[in-house]
Amino acid sequence: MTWSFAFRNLFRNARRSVATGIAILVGFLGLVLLGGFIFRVENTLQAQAIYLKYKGHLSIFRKEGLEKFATDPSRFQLLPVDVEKIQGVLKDHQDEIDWTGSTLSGVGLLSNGLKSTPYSLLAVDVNSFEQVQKNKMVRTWAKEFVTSEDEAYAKAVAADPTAISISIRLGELLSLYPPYEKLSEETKSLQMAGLSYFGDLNAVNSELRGSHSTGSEFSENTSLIGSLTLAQDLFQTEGIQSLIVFLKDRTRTHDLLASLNQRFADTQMPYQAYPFDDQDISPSYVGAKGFLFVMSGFFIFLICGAVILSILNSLTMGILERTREIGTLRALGFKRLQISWMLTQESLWLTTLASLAGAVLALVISMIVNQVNFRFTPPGAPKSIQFLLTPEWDLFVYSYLLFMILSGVGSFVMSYWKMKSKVVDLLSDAGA
Amino acid sequence: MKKMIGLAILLFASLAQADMALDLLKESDKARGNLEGGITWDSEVETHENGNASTREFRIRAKGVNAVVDALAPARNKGEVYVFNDRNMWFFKPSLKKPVAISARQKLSGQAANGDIASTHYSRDYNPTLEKTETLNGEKVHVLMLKAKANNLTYDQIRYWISDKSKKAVKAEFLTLQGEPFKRATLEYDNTVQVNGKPLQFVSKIEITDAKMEQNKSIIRYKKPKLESQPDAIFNINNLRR
Repeated sequence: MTWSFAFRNLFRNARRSVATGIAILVGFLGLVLLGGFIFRVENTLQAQAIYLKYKGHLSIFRKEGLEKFATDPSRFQLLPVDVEKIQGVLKDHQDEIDWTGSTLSGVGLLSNGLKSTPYSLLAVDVNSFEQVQKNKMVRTWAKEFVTSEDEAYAKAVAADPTAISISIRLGELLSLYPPYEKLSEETKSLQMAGLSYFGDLNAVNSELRGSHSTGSEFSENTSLIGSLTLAQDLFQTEGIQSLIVFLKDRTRTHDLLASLNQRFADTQMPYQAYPFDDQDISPSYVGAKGFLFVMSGFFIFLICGAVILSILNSLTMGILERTREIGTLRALGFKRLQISWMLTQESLWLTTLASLAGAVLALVISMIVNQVNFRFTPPGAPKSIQFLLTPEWDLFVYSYLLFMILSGVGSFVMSYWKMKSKVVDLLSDAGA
Repeated sequence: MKKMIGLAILLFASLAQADMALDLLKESDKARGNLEGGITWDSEVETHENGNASTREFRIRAKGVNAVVDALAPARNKGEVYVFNDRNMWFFKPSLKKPVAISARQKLSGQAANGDIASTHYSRDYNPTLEKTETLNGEKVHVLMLKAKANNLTYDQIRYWISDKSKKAVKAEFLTLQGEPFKRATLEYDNTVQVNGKPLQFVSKIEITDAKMEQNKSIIRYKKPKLESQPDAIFNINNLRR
């Protein structure tokens, strides 16, 4: 009864209702679109950190290996016996794991037979190259970062473990310019030199089969990606730097992390697992995410602040205009709580209608913006991505609930406060 | 007039000192393999680093500014070759399709850099100045400051102690660009080679020590040096390509 009464009341002062409704609609729209943008960038950054940078959801190192591997790789590497022990522990979580891979990094000189230039190598097992290329999260959120060259390289390295991919700038330092497939086989034959884990200089043959970009000015001059087999041959080791674990459900990352580290500690195994969002594992992801969250938090604060003020302002004006009406209702025997609840119901109706309109508008705007194909480069990303607005259904629900709470509480408090006046004062109020 | 004479004397003295420094350096280089005709010797590099010890063996064939270093031991390194072409340096092993250009500064083993293993051409590569003359282990020595003429040399600056009597280097400090020593070396000359029928003392041991962690050191022992003509073809990098 009161709900339908409250609904009809909305049309008694359509101008006021429309003004308040627009404030709610704009706020709802802002939250949903901003949320959609954050959702897109966050997913893209995660896909990049977990898959394209081969960090996995979890990276398992020898204890202190994360910090000390670069200076003493032979001591902090994981040998086959270590990998076997870790795989034994992971077996208990097999149903949660998509796949596991291995990484090995190192530095050295890349030579074309005439001159050499320093490289920084990231070596990954061949299976991980293939899995990453076809991964659903990568295909959905970071497809712009996966070029046809990357796909070609994944196939090439599967067929020939000596295939390497280099950053374009590293190639330029050796007078190699893409497209590399047009270069002669002689030119594509490059030699990689590095210090073996025995402390000797060693070198291996490699074949230039791809190029990539790191998105970082610092690493663009030296980045080289190769197979684990090639790196192990170069550094003369059977070991790896880290075992990377890719999960089926990324929300399980921290639970599994805690469980693994607890198991390592309990069984006195000298290993340590790290999540992909650890500052030391993915500094660029953590930095970009921090920036994104601070920026979006600031905007959400502004949007919510503006909407709350607009709602309170409209409600105050409405209540002041309806002081005599409230007085009449009080005189007719309506209780304070009943009247406040009726006014709150009006606000809730208005919020529902404005949110519905806002949702429709958000979908229309998202569709238009996504069609236009604006592009931007997130911090730390290798190249520009499309400015996509991808508001998810839960964003609509949470935004709606937030505005229901804001308008409901605001209306109730404001009307209940006004109801404290005596009936006679309310009836004699001019409404000003 | 007196001032002019004074300036002329000073100029003459400094020129004479520079000449003397260069002469000392040229003479000391001979005992470290800088011989025109060609020379061969074997080297054993014993390395002590962070509590680990290892030994590597090489055969060096040098002629003028060129040298070829063949790795002999351990077995895993056999067949590896370092070629010094003037100031350029290359690494090759049989499985490689092309040689790799490497830096003379790069670590060969422990404290020894690639550039330390072959013949020394400090008189060509560095500008020497005589810093002072002093006594070291009861022997009069000239202390030279060597500054690199190019940036692809093994060291930027070297403080070099050359014996006045034997004209051989007996001590060295390898300095950073800021002039701080980061490695120190002592040299011994117990080998002899016959040059033009005359005996020439030849380096027999160089001990290179980390300036900060003295337990980290490399000892290069020079064995069986003999004058031997070397064909130019062995220094041609193109002959290493497959």
